[in-house]
Amino acid sequence: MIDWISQNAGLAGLLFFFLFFVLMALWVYRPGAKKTYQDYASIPLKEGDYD
Amino acid sequence: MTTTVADTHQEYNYEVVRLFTIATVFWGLAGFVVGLLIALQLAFPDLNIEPYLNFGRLRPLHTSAVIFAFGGNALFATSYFVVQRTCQVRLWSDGLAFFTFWGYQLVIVMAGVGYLFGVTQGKEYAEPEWYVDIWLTIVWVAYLLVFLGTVMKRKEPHLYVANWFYLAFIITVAVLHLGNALSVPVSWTGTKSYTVFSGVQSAMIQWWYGHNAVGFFLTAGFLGMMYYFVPKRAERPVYSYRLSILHFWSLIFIYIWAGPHHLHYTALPDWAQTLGMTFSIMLWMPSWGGMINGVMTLSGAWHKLREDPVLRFMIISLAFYGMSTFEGPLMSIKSVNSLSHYTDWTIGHVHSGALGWVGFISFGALYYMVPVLWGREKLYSMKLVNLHLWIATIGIVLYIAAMWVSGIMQGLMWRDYDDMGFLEYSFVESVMAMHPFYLIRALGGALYVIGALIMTYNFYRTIKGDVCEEEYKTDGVLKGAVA
Repeated sequence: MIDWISQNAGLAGLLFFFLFFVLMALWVYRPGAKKTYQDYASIPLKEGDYD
Repeated sequence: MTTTVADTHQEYNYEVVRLFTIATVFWGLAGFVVGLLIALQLAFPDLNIEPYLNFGRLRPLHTSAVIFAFGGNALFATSYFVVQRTCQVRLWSDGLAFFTFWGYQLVIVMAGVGYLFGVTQGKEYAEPEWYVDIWLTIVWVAYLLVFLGTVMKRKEPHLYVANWFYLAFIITVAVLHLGNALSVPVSWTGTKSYTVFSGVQSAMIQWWYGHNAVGFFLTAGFLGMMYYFVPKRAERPVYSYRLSILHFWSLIFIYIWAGPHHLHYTALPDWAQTLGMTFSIMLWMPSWGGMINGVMTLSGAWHKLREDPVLRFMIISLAFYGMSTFEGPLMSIKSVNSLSHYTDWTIGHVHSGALGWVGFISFGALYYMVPVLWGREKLYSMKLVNLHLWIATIGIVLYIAAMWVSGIMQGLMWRDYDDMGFLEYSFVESVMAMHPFYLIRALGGALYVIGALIMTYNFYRTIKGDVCEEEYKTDGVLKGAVA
């Protein structure tokens, strides 16, 4: 495994980053998380603790 | 505001943000004026005063002043402001935060003085010599520590996306600087050093750095600004938070590969040129995704654009962002680049991004921050903000339109040859043909400087505590409060 990765570092890197990106995108757009992200989006608007 | 200014100060470190804000305005004015001067030098060569004030020395002074002094201080100011407010904690380590301020101003002064006296590595956008590079590394590590320290003690569980962009900017600029600045000093007491790379590797390292200075300093950092100040000013959450995360990862994964497009038709291997071109074209998607995300934040509240010139600054900046990130990939296509490379078209492209995107989003953020930082209810005058907006916008349009015409004309003149295969024009003929456009460009730059002076006056009166009463007074009450 490690031999294959070291011999094909370019391809391994490409696959790693591409997979990371695809999984990230799928995770962000997972069903049922809409409310969570709407809450995150309102962080700049609710920062009223100090002023 | 429900609490007094004094209470707020105990919670947040606004003192250091105020210092960076003043430095942003000061260096911005200095950088814009030097830009106007070198524009005039190109139109009237007699203005070159040998040796200290010739174009060759003032040009890096201009680029460093506007990118690193104006842009850098704007990024420091807004990142410290945003990270405190979205994490709901005071900056980590006051001492280190103030060190980043004075340390960074020292970098700027050492770099600028060096250029005037001819001390330079000759690396575009990374001209300072080795001793400035080492000092900048120390300051930058302190910046990373302050930012990370604040993020780690945050009270808000989720780290808001604007901070991701700021953090990517800080980390990537550190990596770029360390890679590109590797050089060997001739002696410990002298200013001269030589880069460790040579030949085409040196060129590739330089443009890996150079393009990512555009990608991470002038884009990712200012996108952080956009993702906070546009929703804040519009009083609406960003159009799609999910899209902002997709925007983040796609932007940082793709940008880092685009540098080779600066080296088309050079000794750089063809495959590397094609790689740079391909990744540049792919950048269309995250760039436009981000622009749409910012603009659509106003969806359902477009009337705010009519009422608020500060928001107008931000939205026009996004329009320029969209335009210049459309133009950039276009110019990276090899066949287009064979016409555009080395011409004024490139200068026009850079300035639509710099004056339009970076400048305007910074002005928008400053107009929002200044009354908040100094505890004023509102800006001295909204009419002056509007005046600044339109004068500067006309200035940019004059600038980039002049450079489109002169750049394409230059490219066409250089490649034109007659039936016998001789060049149709001598180089000096192409230079003479540029003159009217250099005048228009200088006029555009002058308008941009005037706009910045109006902003400075408005800030001076705001900080002093003045309010232009007749402007706000309608039906006996003051309107237009911003904070």
